[in-house]
Amino acid sequence: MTEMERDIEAYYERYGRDHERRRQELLERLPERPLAVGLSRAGWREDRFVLRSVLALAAGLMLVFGALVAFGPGSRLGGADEHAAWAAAMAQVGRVQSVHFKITTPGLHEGDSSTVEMWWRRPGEFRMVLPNGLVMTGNAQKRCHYDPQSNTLLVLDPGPGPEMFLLTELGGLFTAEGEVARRWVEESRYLRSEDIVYKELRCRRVCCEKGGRLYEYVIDGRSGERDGMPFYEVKEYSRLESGRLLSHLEVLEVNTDLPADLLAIEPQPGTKVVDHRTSK
Amino acid sequence: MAESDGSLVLRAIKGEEEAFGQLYDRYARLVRAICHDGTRDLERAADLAQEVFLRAYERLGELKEPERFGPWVAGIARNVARECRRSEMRDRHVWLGEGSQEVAESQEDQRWEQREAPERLAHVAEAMERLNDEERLALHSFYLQGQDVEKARRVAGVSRSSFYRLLSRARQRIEEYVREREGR
Repeated sequence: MTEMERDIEAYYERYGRDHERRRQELLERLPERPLAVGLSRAGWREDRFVLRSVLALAAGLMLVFGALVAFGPGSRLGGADEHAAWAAAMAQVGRVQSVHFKITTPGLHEGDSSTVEMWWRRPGEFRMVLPNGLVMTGNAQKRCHYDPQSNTLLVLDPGPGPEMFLLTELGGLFTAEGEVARRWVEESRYLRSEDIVYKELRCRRVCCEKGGRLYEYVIDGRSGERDGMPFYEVKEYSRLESGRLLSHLEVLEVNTDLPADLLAIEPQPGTKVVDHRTSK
Repeated sequence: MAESDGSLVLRAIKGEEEAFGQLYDRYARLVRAICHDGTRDLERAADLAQEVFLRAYERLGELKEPERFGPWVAGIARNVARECRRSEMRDRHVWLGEGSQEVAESQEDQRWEQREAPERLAHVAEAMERLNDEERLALHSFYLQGQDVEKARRVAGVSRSSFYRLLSRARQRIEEYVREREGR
């Protein structure tokens, strides 16, 4: 956690002060029940809520039934084997030495999506290109933020790593230790898999559920072996919002030599440099 | 597993106060922060937050999608904060020419960050004030809801990509301001 992160969290502690006392105070002030107009509609809403829950349960049962048909005793596909192959591919995530990937998060409206591109080398060198064009790099010596619009380079003390909140949990898998990937596998529930052709390669699409979200991984039989590539891509969907796509991670390269000048920014002539390092 | 907001809302509608108490536990901090944006006074913001929850309780039956309680109550808080800001501007207008300097100083004295907080935290608070409403709401909803991007962006009412942009810009602006104030 960076110093600024700690400061922001410390700033927000103020809004929790006197919480218990105020909670008690509020509950004592509440009218006996919400307004009658609400109550008259509540029954209908509750029915609608129950109906929605029943539909969700039915959908869940169909999913489980589908998985049983596909992977249960006597099924053509070996569910356990598929699961093991996927788990083996995932185990590679914690072992990659360098990775280049893109994460796209679609917006609510068409065309409103953004992509973060990331190069990362163990133990903690990285380059991120944000949707607004901002480029961030970090290594053991310094952290740089370059804004191409104003041609300004901000140089900071080295931080603990990339901006995790921009990478989403999936991107964070690569930059974390192997333990995180292992937990990820444990917390995932394998659902199904199918043959697909991905970029002219025969692959498998493996679908898992984790924490109320669906994940579709594209792997092939040799994903776990070839150059340590864990998977080619992962799509993350919300189960609550009618399967809306939440993020799409594409792994472009793993374990390649990333040039040093990619992982640090040197100012060009004309670049305004703002150096905020404590020790220069 | 934690009970969903939707289920708590339905129980609260039936008159189960404790269910509403749990919704209060989840969102009171966020509501206080939003109200604070309108008042710049923590005590007053905490009082306004109580009003927000009372209004929310009274109108629970109007909530079309019970599971969207978070964004809904945040919306009420934003309206209350706006009303408060408008009324303060009216008051300030009345006070102008009549010891307005004293009024401003007394408001200044009430600022928690200037009375109690370490200097660095005071700088963060100053930086927060310089953010625009959208950036501030993105930060509030992110840091006061367990740093869950999905929950936070729903409260902020923007797409995931816009949310990342807002959050990134807000954090960058705070960082730059704090460093500037510290003369680094």
